[in-house]
Amino acid sequence: MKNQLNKFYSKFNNVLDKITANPKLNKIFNWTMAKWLLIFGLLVVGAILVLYLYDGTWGLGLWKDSSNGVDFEPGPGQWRLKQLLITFFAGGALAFAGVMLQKITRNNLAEVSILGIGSINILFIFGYIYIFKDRVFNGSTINKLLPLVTITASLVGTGLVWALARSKRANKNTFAIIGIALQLLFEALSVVFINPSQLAKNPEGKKLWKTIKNYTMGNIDQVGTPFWMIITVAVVIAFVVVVALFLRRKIDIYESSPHLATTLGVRIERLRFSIFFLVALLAGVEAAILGTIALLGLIAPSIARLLFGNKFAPTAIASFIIGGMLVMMASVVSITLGTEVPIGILATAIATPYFIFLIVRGK
Amino acid sequence: MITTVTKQTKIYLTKILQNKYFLYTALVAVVFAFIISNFFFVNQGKYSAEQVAFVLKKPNVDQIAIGEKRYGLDAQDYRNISEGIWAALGTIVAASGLAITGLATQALTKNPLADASTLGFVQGGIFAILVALSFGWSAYYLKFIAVIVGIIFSSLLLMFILIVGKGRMTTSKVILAGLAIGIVFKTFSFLIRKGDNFLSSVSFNYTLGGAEAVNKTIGKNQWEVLFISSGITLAAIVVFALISKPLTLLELGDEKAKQLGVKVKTVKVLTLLVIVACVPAAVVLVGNLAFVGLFAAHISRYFFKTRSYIKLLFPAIFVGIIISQFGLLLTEAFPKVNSGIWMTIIGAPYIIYAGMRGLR
Repeated sequence: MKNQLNKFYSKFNNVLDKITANPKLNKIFNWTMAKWLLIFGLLVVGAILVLYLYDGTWGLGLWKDSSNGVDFEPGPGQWRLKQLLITFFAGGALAFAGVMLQKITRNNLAEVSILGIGSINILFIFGYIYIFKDRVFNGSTINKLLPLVTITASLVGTGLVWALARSKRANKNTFAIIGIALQLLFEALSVVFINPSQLAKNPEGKKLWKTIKNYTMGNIDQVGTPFWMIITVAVVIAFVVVVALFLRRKIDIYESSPHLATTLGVRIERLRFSIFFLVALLAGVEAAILGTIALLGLIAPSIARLLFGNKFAPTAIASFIIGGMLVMMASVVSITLGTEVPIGILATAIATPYFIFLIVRGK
Repeated sequence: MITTVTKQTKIYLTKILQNKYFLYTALVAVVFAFIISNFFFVNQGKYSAEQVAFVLKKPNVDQIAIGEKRYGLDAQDYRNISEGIWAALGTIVAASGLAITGLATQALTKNPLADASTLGFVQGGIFAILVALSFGWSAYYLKFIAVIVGIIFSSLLLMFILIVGKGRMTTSKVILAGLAIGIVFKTFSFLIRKGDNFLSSVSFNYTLGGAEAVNKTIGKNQWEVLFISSGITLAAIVVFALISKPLTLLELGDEKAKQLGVKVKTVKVLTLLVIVACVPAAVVLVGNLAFVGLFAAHISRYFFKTRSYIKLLFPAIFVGIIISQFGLLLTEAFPKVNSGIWMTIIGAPYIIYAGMRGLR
């Protein structure tokens, strides 16, 4: 048995060697290409799963079934497309923001949710929903101003991290510890404003708490996010990605050594400031459509880094795709299981062990 | 002239502050002030001191018939006051237990940020309580066992991480791993409680923390639980006092301590036992009272300027009691917010500050 396995392995290796040695084949088919294909394939699989699999029933239902063709009324079928767009752009934005933060703080444990940006978003969303609680009870939409609120929140959060990053004493791990402490602090503060155990006592409070939870932990099927908002958010995210890709060389040089970057004529402070601003935009815009997913910005970039190395442009794009795909899969799992487990919680349960692994392995 | 006067006052003040007898008396005075104010500020000061004193004499509520009033109090008032008193006493016991845990974990892991809550023990215990309740095991003594199991489980997880990352684990990495374990348990607690009203209210009471919230879950057996917990904590205090000398020697490092005649393994096992005894006693009483052990140890070390554990033991306990009683007072003033939340609001900035200082 072992011998046979060994034989098979050596044969497989031979074939691989032939493929990699052949210059003609190499031109068409190389490993980088294969990796990209793999990622895109997984993305397509995820998208198909999202579009076809809903409530355990199989079948495509992009739009609400009506004789007039396309119907923009919110219906169970129509929101599959919504689900697809939301999960892809939200996950991608978080992962992309994670890559940028990791590059600019030169710390592979940096992430939106760890550094307290995510939790300050949650705090602001709490406050916003609490102020407009009458609308929750009426059943009307409450999220017209939400993107602005979340962007403000993440500007505040990134400002904090920016200030932290400037202090030279905080090293890699203390940075993350400070971030988690910030997260705990914001959680506690949000409890001060709205005490869930008090809210859970009366039915109105329960409804309010449920709405808040849906927004903050990523329960897309409960949130009636309108189409125009998803499109706007997607456009903003695309804009940020393009701008960041224009800065790719500077970011790479900065990560290798800030001193080198200064000698090569990169204005470090300006670069840092703009990257943090972009991160704030991404995190804020993302929080408006799908709460915060803890640790996603950590797990997607590290997978991407495993595949494509540490160069900014390929890693960032790959982690965008991987992040989107992961959130898609998580949403499919959470919906098909029918457990009402929010995506954020599901992702955290999966990602935290990986986080611990990263801590242990950390260079 | 003025400068000399200020200089003189500064010197006197530092002399007074460095005098340990003054510090002791001040600590004890503040502790009693807080405890007494918590006793008599029950339910936002709705009841007079005489009424509270009357209830203190006879905490048995069941003797009073419905509609009957003694000292202007009906049965519900009795219950309110005795709950308040229970919360104050429970917080004292839990805070002293947590303070010892803070000292013990910091001695054992040689890590200035170690604490029952930063290493994930408390969250593990709460998770275990939720698991036990979801199986229908709701007897009060089972909660102790559940928390012990949870703590052992989470500490085993931490041990595993430490063993896997041997040599590469710095102090900050250990804390980071502990915080991450805490997040894991928090998430799993969420997964368990979801959809179940009773479990979710229990989970809120424990995770948000505070004796006044946990009281609602324990209910009838509150005095038994308090009795057991205080017994355990007292025993732990005695054990810690006995092993404090070799623990202080352990600060020099295991090798040197061995040369000085310390039985390193025995001391470490005993310290672990103290932790495993104290944390359940505290968690069952107050749930997640975060970071109390951390700043109890830090503040007492700062003021008494010593690393001798026998000298730090009682100051740490007093500081822990003061801080947690302060949280309880705040809760009486703002009844919507649990005292555990106030602890986090005080404690998280402290951790940030400690991290900024560079984790010495």
